[in-house]
Amino acid sequence: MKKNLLINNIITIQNEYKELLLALLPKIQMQHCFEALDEISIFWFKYIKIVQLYLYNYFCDEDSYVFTGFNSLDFNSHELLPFLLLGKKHIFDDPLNMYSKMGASTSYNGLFKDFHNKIKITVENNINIIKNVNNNILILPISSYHQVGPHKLFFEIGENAFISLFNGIESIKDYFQKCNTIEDILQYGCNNIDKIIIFSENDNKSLPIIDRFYNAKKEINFAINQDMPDAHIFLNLIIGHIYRALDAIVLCSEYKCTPFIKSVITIHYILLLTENMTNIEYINLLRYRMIIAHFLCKLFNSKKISISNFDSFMKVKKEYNFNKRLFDTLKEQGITSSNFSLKLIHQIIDTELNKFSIILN
Amino acid sequence: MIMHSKLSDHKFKKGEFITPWNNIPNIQCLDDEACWVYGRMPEYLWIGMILDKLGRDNGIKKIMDIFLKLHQIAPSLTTVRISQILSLDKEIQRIFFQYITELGVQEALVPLTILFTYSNYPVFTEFFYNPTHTIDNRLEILLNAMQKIMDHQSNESTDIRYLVLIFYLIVGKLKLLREELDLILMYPSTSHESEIMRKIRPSIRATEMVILYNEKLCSEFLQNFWRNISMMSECDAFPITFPKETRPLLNYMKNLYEIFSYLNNLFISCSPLDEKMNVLLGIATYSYKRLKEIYDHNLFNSISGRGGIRALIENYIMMKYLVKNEADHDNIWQDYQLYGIGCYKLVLSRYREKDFPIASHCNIKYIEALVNEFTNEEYINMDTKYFDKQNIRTKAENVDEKDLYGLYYDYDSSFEHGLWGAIRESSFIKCLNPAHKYHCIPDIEDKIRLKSVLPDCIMVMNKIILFLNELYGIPEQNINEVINFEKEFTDKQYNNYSE
Repeated sequence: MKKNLLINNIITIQNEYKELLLALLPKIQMQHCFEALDEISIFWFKYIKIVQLYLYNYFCDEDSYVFTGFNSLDFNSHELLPFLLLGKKHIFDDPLNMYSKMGASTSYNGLFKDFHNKIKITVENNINIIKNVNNNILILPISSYHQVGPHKLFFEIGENAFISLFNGIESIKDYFQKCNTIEDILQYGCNNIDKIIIFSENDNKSLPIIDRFYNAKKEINFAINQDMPDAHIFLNLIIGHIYRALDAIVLCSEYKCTPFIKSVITIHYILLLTENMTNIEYINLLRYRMIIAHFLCKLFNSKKISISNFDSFMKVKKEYNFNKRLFDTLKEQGITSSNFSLKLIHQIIDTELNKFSIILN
Repeated sequence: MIMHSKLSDHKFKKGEFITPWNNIPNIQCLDDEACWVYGRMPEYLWIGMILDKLGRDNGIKKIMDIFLKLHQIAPSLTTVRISQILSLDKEIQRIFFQYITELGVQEALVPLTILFTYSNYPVFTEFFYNPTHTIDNRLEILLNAMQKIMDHQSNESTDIRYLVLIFYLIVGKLKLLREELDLILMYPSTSHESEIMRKIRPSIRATEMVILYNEKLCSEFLQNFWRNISMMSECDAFPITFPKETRPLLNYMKNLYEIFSYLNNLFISCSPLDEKMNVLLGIATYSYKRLKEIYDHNLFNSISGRGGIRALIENYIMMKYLVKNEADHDNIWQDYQLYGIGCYKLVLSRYREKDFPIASHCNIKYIEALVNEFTNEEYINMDTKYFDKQNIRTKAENVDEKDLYGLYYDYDSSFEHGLWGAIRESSFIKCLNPAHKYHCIPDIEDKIRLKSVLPDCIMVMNKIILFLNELYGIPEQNINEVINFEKEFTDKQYNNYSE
């Protein structure tokens, strides 16, 4: 193998990370969860320079994909297969580092159990990925390594995006002064606010927005104080999605890569936030490739596409070159980053996946 | 003030100057793991952090209590190295850390949780992990503490070494004479500025060194410590930057041009076929062109500037050598030229053996023409030794320019040959981060500015001019211009030139 000090270091770091996670997994008991997360944070803090050097010199490319949006990458359900079909380089944006920062402020209540469970599952998935995919997916806390702008600015942008959903409200402070109930919120809401916002994965857009809000509120009952005003709950329901979307935009703009996002909500908010940026070529490309990736994720039927083992999947994938075939077909159909139809993309991806599944099976 | 041995104190053996210290049989430097910075400071950092947090007086008292407790619960432990404490049975560690917590010293050791993490040191993190302390915060405290104790003779590190010694006394591993013990017991209550401390401190440090030979060194712990701490912090670059050379040189360069124009016209009109004048003027012109390049491109503060001044010095020495030895060496002027042309021919021959690399800056066709310019190359030998079988140092001694060689030329040779001293000076920036052991980092951004070679360039060029003046005579007004310039330069501007 050709010598490459940086790549070799990254591979070593992946193995070290796996060993660390293996050591921490059995020890992640309730009361030691945060010490374990702290150690994970310290681990990545140590390697920040190496990782950033890798990201800027080897990962910055439109053919590089990052699985992000604060979702887990479930190894056992083969979620990583559609992720690997596209592009040349792949990173799973490890959320454990973020959990560490959140953990410092999480108290022992019902939220903690859920949070702790999430950590455990993520650790298990990470171990499985590193063990089984031969560094075809790197696990790096790429969101934690933002160089672009201080965090204060990031939160300001998120808040401004939230405020832009309203008329006659100038700031978050103003929002809380003027809004208490959901009725107040809707009074100040912009036109089509009911079409613009999505509360959760289970949000039924055919219902009136007030019903949708109460349904979403029920979903997070375990995490909130029951006396909390609607205005606070509404903010919490929406702004998290906005931050997640902003995070993906900033991350991918910085490293010039494509986000691979499972959550339709995050996709929705990314498209919303980038609606007025389509004059920027890179943003167009990001939106286009992100949609393709998302549809691929949704249409990929792991039951239909069976694999005997991971290595054989990768071999077939390389030989078949699904990525090139897909983009060639899209181009032949006249679909480009500045002119694309969601329906047509959906159809083409479905067709290409069917072709691929025949080859694979 | 640190005293250094003179050159005359060294023994010269087989081309190497051996220091007086190295001449003592079996003497050698301490291994890294035994030295304070690399091998002991990391182990005693925890003591330093308690002293840093609580202050000297209160800190020493608390640590004494901690040591007594440690000896009580782990009587077989004969060291306070943290690697050994963290290797104790977990229950003993729990009792120990619980005691530290009860003493109110817990906060001092929180920063160490970025090094002693949960997977390897669960008991330590159990007592000292504090979620309100960010990684940056812990690292900052740690680095500040390290900075104070990196110097093995600082007040803080001497306090630590005193405490280490005390533990050895507690466990009975060290016996001292009554007088020595009295001095040592005075230590905690005596200010570092006291006169008596000039006696006590060295005694403590020397005695603490004796302990080393009985201690178990933990290489893995030290390697991990330095690896982890160095990766977590940024370099703190400290480039050495001398002032940029801005002194006006235009008039001097104009005067030089006048002189060389005169010499050129003198040569053409009076002695166009004089080999001696041809060679001397050639060497001088080459020196003038080197200086002009430094001036035109403002290279006085650069590495190239040092190459330039070195060339001037070598040329001057060669000129004097050739003149001095012309009586004893027939055809010295022709032989000198043939020697140089022979060197060119050697390169030409090598190129002929291989395919000529087209992009090379060496124009082989032109070189070939130069080699064959006056004599067919078949009559030109290629001498691979020094000209006249003497190196430049010997030639310099021959012409009474030993200082010019020893004090200037030899220093600049390091730059020309890319020896490490020159590389360190010109291409590495010091990092002031103690976690990086004050290493050096490459100067990619070109922040280093070397001290200007301008005064020395003028000095050597004027020597060349005066030498030619002795041989051929140069109009007085021209000579006076350059000499006066040097004089004024040295008197007025040089004194105002601050570093």
